[in-house]
Amino acid sequence: MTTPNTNVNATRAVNRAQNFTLSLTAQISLLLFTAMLIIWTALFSSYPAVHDAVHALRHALYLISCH
Amino acid sequence: MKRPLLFALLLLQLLALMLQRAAPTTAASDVQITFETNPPLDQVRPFGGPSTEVVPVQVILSVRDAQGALVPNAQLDFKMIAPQPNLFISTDVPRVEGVTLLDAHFVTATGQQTFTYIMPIRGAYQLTISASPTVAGAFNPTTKTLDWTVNEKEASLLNAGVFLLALFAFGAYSGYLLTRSHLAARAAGSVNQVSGSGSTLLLVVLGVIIAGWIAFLVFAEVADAAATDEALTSAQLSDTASASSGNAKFEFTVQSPSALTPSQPASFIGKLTDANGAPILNAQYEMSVAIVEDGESETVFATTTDSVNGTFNWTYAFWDGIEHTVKIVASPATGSATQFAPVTFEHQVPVVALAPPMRAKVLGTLYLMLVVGAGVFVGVFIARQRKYAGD
Repeated sequence: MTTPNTNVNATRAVNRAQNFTLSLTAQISLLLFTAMLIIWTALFSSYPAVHDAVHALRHALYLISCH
Repeated sequence: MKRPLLFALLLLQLLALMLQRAAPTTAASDVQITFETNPPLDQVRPFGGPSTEVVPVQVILSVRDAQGALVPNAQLDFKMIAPQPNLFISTDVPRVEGVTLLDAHFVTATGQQTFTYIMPIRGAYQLTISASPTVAGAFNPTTKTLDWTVNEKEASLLNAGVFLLALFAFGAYSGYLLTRSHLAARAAGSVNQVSGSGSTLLLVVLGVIIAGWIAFLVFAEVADAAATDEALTSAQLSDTASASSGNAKFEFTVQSPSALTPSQPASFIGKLTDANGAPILNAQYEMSVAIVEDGESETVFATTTDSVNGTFNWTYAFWDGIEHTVKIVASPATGSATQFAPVTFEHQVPVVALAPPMRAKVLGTLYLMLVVGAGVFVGVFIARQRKYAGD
């Protein structure tokens, strides 16, 4: 059985989560983190299928280390 | 009176002999080493993966006298060390940085030696070239050291510029869109009603996707490290093969203290013997090394050289982590006492590929993220400025 206090706390937590999700800081952080994952996966990952697909591109971009 | 005269004559002779030793009339001459390339030094570009059209550079080493004429019968020792690692930015093949790529001992009857080679990376190569006579006393041995800077391909610089610009634009546009929608929602006072509980659900879903993605990347890194370890453990450290033609037998050995990788130079050894196992002297070797990728073979090193004792023992770095084909044709050198039909030898040398060091990967990601981040910052700034300007 839940008490009124528990319900209030839960609502507050949900509100806080919503506010955090919708804040500009959180969205930009999420954007940057996702961009980082994509960059790492495409240009630095050792996974053979990815490496083989973008091997020539990695060598052609000056900044990227390949093998 | 005769005895002092004889003594004086002997003394004079002794003096003349000493002077002759100090400044011999048949003194060995000084020579100079010249180093040229075709195309010229400043037009040479490094290898850049299978899609680029980089042709091997022809290196021309010459031994010349004071008048510029070629000095015949010389041994040329050529050592080339790859550009040293840079702490902040690495090349596309960081494993080969600082490695001794080639330590060859050529013998040339004409005084000029050529070989072709594909430079693996950009940067300053350290060269040490020594010349010594194959006929004792013909000239004074000399050594020349120089740095040879190979510039990056213009296409790579252009590609990098376009790529960085695209990353910056992506960051700027994303930052602009996010900020604009955020400011619009806040102005409407509806931040908490925009998505309601859906935003939390979205956050959870994104969190699960990102966690899975990270797990996949970690798995890929661990799997690659394990595969490399296995390849290094099982790789042969010494590999010998041979070929024969008539009574002549050519034996070739590649050996290294650890498994062959782009960062582990190998000893590159060949010897020629007759049917009784006795060495065949004065041989000529025509050799080439090619990489085999996507079904296509590309020669990365080729030369023709003589060997006075019929053997060679060089250092050679297989700088690409794929299979190489070594082809050698041994034949009698001009004027050799032993004649035999040329021996053709071909052998596959597997080289274990290594992933770039983690430092290079992390730094590369950091630099690219700085560009994206700068774009986001500019996008946010522009969105705020337009909002406050009442646009």
